Amino acid sequence: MEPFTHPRHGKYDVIGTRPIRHDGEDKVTGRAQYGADIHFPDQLHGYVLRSPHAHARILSIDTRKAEAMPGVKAIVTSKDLPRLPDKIIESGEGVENQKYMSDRILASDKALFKGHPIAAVAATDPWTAEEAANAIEVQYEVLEAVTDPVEALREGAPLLFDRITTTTLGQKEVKATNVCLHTRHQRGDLAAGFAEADEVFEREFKTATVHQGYIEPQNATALARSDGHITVWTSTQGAFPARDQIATVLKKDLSKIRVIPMEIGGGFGGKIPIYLEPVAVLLSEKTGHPVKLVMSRADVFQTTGPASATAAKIKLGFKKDGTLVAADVWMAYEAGAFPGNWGATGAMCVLAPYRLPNLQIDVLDVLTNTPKVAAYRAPSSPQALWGVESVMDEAALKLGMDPIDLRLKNAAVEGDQRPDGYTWPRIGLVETLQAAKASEHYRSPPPNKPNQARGVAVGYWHNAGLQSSATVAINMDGTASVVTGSVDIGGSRASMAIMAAETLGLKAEEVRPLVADTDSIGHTDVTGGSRTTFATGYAVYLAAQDAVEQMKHRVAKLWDCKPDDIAFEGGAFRSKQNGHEPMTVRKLAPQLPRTGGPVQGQASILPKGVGAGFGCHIADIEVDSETGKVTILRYTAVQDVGTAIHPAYVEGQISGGATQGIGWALNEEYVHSDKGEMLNAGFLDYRMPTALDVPNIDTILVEVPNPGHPYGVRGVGETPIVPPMGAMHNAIARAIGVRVRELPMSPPRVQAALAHQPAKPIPA
Amino acid sequence: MVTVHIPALLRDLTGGAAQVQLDLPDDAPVTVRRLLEHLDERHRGLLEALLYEGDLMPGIAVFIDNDQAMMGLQAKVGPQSDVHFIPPVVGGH
Amino acid sequence: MSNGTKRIITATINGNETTMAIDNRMSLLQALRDVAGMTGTKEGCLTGDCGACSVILNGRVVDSCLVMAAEADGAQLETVEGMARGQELHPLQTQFLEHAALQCGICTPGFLVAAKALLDRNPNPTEEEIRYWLAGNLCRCTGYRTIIEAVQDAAAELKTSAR
Repeated sequence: MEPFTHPRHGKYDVIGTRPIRHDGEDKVTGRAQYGADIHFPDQLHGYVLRSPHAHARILSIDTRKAEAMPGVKAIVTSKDLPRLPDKIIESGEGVENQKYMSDRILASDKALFKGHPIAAVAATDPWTAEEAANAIEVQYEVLEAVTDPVEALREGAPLLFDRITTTTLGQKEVKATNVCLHTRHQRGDLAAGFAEADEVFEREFKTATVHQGYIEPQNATALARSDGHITVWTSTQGAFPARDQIATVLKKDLSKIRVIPMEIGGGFGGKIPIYLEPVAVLLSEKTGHPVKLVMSRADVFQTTGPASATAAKIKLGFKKDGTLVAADVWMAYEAGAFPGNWGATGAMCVLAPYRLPNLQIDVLDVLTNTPKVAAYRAPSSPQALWGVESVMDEAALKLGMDPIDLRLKNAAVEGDQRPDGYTWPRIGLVETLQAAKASEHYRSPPPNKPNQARGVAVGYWHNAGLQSSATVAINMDGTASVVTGSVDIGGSRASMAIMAAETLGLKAEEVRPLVADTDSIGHTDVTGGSRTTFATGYAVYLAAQDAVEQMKHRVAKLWDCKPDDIAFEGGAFRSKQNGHEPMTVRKLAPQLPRTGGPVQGQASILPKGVGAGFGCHIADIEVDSETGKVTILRYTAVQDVGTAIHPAYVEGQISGGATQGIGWALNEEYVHSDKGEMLNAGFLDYRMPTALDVPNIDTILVEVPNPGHPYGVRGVGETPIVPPMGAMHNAIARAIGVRVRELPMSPPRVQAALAHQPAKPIPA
Repeated sequence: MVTVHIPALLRDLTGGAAQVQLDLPDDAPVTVRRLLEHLDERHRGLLEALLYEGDLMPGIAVFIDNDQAMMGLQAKVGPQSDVHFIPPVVGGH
Repeated sequence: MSNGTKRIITATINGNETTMAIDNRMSLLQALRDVAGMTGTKEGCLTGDCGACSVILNGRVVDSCLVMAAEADGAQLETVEGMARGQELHPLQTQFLEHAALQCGICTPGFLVAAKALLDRNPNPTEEEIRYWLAGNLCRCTGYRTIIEAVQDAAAELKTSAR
């Protein structure tokens, strides 16, 4: 099959350049308005009272003392939320039960995790709000809590719900359980496959809960007018999905709610679910004032959805020549306190990079007394793939194969089937592996002093399409504006301007991008899922093409010919017959009024043709044999990016995602007390990488254009967090001769591994 | 022949078969719902297992010839189609 | 109303004498953001671990969430809002833009102020010195490379200009 090449791939005018982002100056001068920067003269301050217990029945809530305090204007509890039906829906977050959506916002009969919101106060100053909240008297019956997913599976483990039975296609279980979902994929004949194998590896892995770690805490400000119209200002990854969730929880029409997305200080999936917004609305409805809430850092850690802790059992069978013939995988993912999680996605990711005829994958989502897990950059894939990459590395050593060659031997290509049955279209895994193998880093000798080694690992994320809308308006001087509903977390509005400019034959500075609120543009799904440049970019392209079509008709009027006689090429309208000078958009624009009025192109799209993302990372490390600390000497991230619209931001996504993965690999974890409380709910002890912890990460962008997008775009943002755990683990194993199969591979764990087996390093 | 791939957890209903094939009456396209009704005649319980409140179970998508059918149960299946039921490709954040 | 004593403080902020009525319980960060209305300095953790609230206080870079507003009475303060001279951005600001050293931008004011404090006292920092100095500023988006390179290029630019 011929590799698809967009006709102008490599020959773009604007795509692939690095203009300064349009919102850049505001962000370096402190002018940009993030959610917590908003201020109204008559605003009230909100404070949420949260459960001190990880698992408890709520017996009574008495707000009288609090209500009597001067300065307290309103108090709300779950009684102020409408009752929602027991019904499963697809929300911006995946699949969840409506009834649990409101319980998550304000607890009704049970507190299911430490920090579960119980009530909220609006007062004239933040200290009064906090004092009043602490004056609310709540009677709890404390119950035994369980925070580890494997513990929650055991017979006799505390049950979060006495009425949840496992959702499993087909069988309706009757026994109450903490397993809220069981996903299974099966193909071929497992027994025959393993019988055929020359080498079989059966290993167990564990990962700890980690947090997205965005620097900006959640925030929400709401104003409810007496006529029923509500405005919400919030740092969110999607104004429309936020509005949908708020409307569902508060049982209101969407037209009654306007969500204005403020600038956002990081999300990584964690700012897709709503937390504070309905509380702010309820308090505003009761007081008639804007009510502002900002979460403390401790609350961010303890009450917003982190990423699942997991346990995995992975069994892989290989032939002597490296062919993967059979795989048996079992995984348990921490679900947190409510169903609607990522296990099914993990089941799809875990063996996705590899071709293989015989497999069985069983994944359980397990309820625990922790906050409901939220998406975190390629949710479920890092936890699934790192174990597979560890076993692949063991196999490479045992079989005497180069680790990249082993991946190449089994790499999925177009026409192979993913574990869930989907057939791969054109993908770039092979090209990515080849680029990694050919890289200067990989061809250089691995570090060979004591306790030094090199590790490699592969990563995968499917990326999303979803819905986007865009408008492109032509200004009277031929410059343009592009409006989308995609919140800009990392510089995407610049890419929108670039794609519009490319399509219109303008410069990036001649196009002004705007991120609009829910009143100003058509429905647009989250900024997440690595979908923004792909899907919203696609909508921008179509909107720009719509404008071009309209302008063709105007030129036809001016040239007294048919629109079909006109082509738009090289940034100008050209007559297919002769006799007319080419006309740029700039030249045409002043003539728009007299040829029919303003020109605005628009598009709304739910695109197919999403391109998956594959990455391969190479890590050279050194382990300090006394402390167990791992120093990264050199790190290269190779990734198939389709077409890099703004290369600096593509490199930035890869570098940032890899850094998060390194933190996940080496240091980050939730530490729980036996009462289910997070003991390290701050940036000091929840240890994320600083400028001292990571070297300059080199990025190699492989461009295998995605045939499903007019400019060949593949989503890039999530894939880079997937390989680091495997790459670091494999490097550590090769350095010290021991496989640390539990994340994070923090100094105490590596030290313990060294203490049990101070072996010679594995030969490179 | 329409080929329907059976999700692993439902293979008890098809005697362990990972795929089931059938001919459409008159070789004319039918909706996915109708297809499942046909299948349910031979493999009781299949329809109920895939439905939730009358529609396709949330979190499950229909792929017809490797393309996600957004119309779900109302999407049309042709006489040579390949049908999968899997978690949607478009999910994920 | 919960009882907090009020007081008047006067500080020089970015060269301008600014008088504020503050609550004794306020941090300098709160006073800057909620009283002076200068929201360029950001809140990330309120425990002095992330550096998003960095300001320069009497020549030293500090986490303003750990400084009581009352302590700033009579002090010289520099915040991100004071880095540009009119329309002329500080070389750190232009280099951050050139290098794409920001993605979400929430940590950017803190980094800019901390980096300025570094270059004010050490115009020739090595890469290691830059990393050490900035280790108190957390960035979750970039992986730090572009930030370090922006600071290096800003240092070079400052040496050649007369700023």
